[in-house]
Amino acid sequence: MVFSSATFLIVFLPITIALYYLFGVAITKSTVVKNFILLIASLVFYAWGEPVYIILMMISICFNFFIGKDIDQSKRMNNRAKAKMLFIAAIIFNIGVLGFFKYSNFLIDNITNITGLGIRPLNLPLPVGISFYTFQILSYIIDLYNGNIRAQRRFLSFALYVSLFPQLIAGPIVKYKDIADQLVYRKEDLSSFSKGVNRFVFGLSKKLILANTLGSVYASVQEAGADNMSMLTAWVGIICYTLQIYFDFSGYSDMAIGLGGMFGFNFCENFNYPYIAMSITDFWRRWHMSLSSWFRDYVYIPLGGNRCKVPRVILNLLIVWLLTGFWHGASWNFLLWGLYYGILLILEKYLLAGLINKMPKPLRWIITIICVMVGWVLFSAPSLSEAFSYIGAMFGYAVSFADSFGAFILFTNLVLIIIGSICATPVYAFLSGIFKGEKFSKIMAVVTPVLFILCIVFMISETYNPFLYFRF
Amino acid sequence: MKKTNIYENENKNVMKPNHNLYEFISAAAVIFLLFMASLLTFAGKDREYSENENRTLASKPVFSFTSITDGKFMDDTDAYLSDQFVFRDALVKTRTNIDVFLGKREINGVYIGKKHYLFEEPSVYNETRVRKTINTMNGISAKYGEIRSYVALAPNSTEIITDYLPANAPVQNQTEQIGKVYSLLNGYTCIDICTPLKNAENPEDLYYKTDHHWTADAVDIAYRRICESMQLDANAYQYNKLAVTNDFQGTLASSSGIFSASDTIYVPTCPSDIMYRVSYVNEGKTCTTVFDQSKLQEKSKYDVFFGGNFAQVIIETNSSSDRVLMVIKDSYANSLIPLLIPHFKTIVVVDPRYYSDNLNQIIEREEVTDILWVYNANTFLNDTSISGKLS
Repeated sequence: MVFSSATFLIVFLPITIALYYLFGVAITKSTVVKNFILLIASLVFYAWGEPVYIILMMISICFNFFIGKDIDQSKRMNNRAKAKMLFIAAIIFNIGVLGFFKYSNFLIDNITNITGLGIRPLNLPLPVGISFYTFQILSYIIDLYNGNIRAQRRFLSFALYVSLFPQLIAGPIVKYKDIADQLVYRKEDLSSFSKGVNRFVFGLSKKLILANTLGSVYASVQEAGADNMSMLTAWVGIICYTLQIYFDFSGYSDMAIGLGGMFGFNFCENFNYPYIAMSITDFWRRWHMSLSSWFRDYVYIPLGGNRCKVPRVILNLLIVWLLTGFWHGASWNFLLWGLYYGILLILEKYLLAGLINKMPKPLRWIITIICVMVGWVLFSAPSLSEAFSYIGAMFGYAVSFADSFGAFILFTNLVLIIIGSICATPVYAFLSGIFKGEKFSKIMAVVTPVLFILCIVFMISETYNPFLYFRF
Repeated sequence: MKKTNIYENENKNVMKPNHNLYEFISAAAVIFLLFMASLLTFAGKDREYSENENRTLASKPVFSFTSITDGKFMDDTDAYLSDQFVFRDALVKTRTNIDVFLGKREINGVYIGKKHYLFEEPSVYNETRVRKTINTMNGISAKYGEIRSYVALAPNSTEIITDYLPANAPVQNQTEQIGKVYSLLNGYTCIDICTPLKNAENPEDLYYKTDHHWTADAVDIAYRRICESMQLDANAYQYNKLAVTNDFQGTLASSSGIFSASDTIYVPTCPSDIMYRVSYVNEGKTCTTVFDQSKLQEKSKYDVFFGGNFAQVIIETNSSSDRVLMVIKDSYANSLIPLLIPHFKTIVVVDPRYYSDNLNQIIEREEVTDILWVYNANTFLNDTSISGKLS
């Protein structure tokens, strides 16, 4: 199920809220009951999109729950060898499942290309959210093995941690240690519920009003093809995509955090205005923060981080960024995208730091945002060759400067692009500073419900589907 | 670097007292709207048919083990809920208004022009596709060298009503596209429809505002031009125009969801001394008129001509002519053919999109003396049904 669907908004969410507050909060006041209701809701939520793969998720939950308990026990009995063996088994299982479902096609394709062997691709559809929940489970297993946390003794709580619907399919990647207490005890109050609802509406608006409309502009550019594209078209397209992916992803995180708030959870933030970053390093401190922090804690630091000699640090960074790229998807585009950021970050760290600090801020910003946009071309293009010809078009290689298509999509979407650009900056905090407290709250008390109505308008109109048999 | 100011920190509240109250009010309003939407959607009676979308709306999904495991139940539920969502039509209309207000001028392949004019996004010239079509066409003219063969490709409104196009709208030069097609044809008399339409006094009257077809005015111009080429006397028969409906909202209105204007459809009256019989071959139906009045009650009112598109229609007349015309066509011809009736002994109308056999059969069976291809440029350039219709 997706948050931006009629099914979620008018059936799933009202029923879940009603059951949770009626039976969990009002009648029993029991965390077990609350967790039980949320678990059932989460399983229905997941099964709605993946009626078969839900079995995979349940197997994963059971395996990790029991092996987690064993790791914890072995550690307490000081049986290090056994703990290590169990730990390795758990890592192999989780990475193995993820690798099998996410990367086997890619691997088989490439083996076929290189060796010419006719291995048939498995063509398994990717289970929704597997990259996210596997990483959440790994955070549990690794922290357990490192002795940072104790094993979760309640199956219900552990199952809920893995399957919790708000962040199940698109993050943020909540580490177990950050949420362990809330699984056992949490208090819902009016304030966090209200904040949650408002936050959810903001996220929904980002997704439905901004991301989807900007996305359709980029789709029309892609449809036109990089072959007969002008520079103008290429830039309008990638600007729209840049805004789309931010609003799409951060909107999803906002909705997750908001939904979490409605049920008494406090999730970590995932975005902090990435497009105002003044360097690539800064960008990655602001973009998908829960993923970068996961890689930092569980890959980069265990590899030695930056407390090694320079060549080793460079190697560590390259490993982390190749993995980060590969995590986003099984294709050469994503690997190259990861490598691209790895190299940019290494350059910033060792070669350009002084130079960057001397540059005027607007120039730093422009260079950063252009690097990010070039990255998005790699990220979004269907193949490497198309990515390269698109980047070529952006910088005027073998294309005209402007054409009527470029002008048309620019001027007919200009208002949207401007609204999007403004909303990608901290305009909310800025306005609340100008209007001073209460007045701003009053305005937002009107704006938020209106935004919600607009979301419904945009959601339903997307399903407008005229039948035109008389088109001939 | 680590200075915190109000411009950073995405979601920290910098609010003062009473902030919670307003936050609560807005959250309560949202939750209220949420539950109301849910309640009204479920309390409302299901609609079966959507007039605007011209389709049957999704009905309650069927619950079963297989429909759950293969996900059909979920997909059907999603479709059902959005199709039956309370105020659906009003919500869609609001969206269209917002889009247009914000400057959008292209929705679902429809350009939103000035003065309520809607335009079909023009087709691009696809070399391989056009080649295939041309090969079949040239094959026919080569095989039947004794038959007089004509081609009339009509431009679309983007080529003619250029003044009302939205600014910068990416269009194709259809005069050039049609010229390119004509240059590849052998054994045909290619009829230039573009020039007389472009020179018309009121180009905005040549196409419907809300539909992709041409109007009676454009048809009249094309008819005269075709008569010239085919050596027919256009002035031999006088006809009048009769308005049959003035609330026609065509395909472009439906595609874009913009229903702000309506069009008038005119049909030509037949000269009183001409009688004819129309046979719909595959349907086994015969009648004495090329007009189907019942279509005026439906959405697709342009179907008043012939009742729509059919594989093979034969019109036999009491005309003194001994020529037998075969028209191979798309729907643009439907409004043109009524004017050609008095000039021919027999007219065989073939629509390759519905006619699946080869064309030789008909040509030989009916002893055709003239072949006329009538297409609009957009349909012709996208057509894949002509190629291979020659054995």
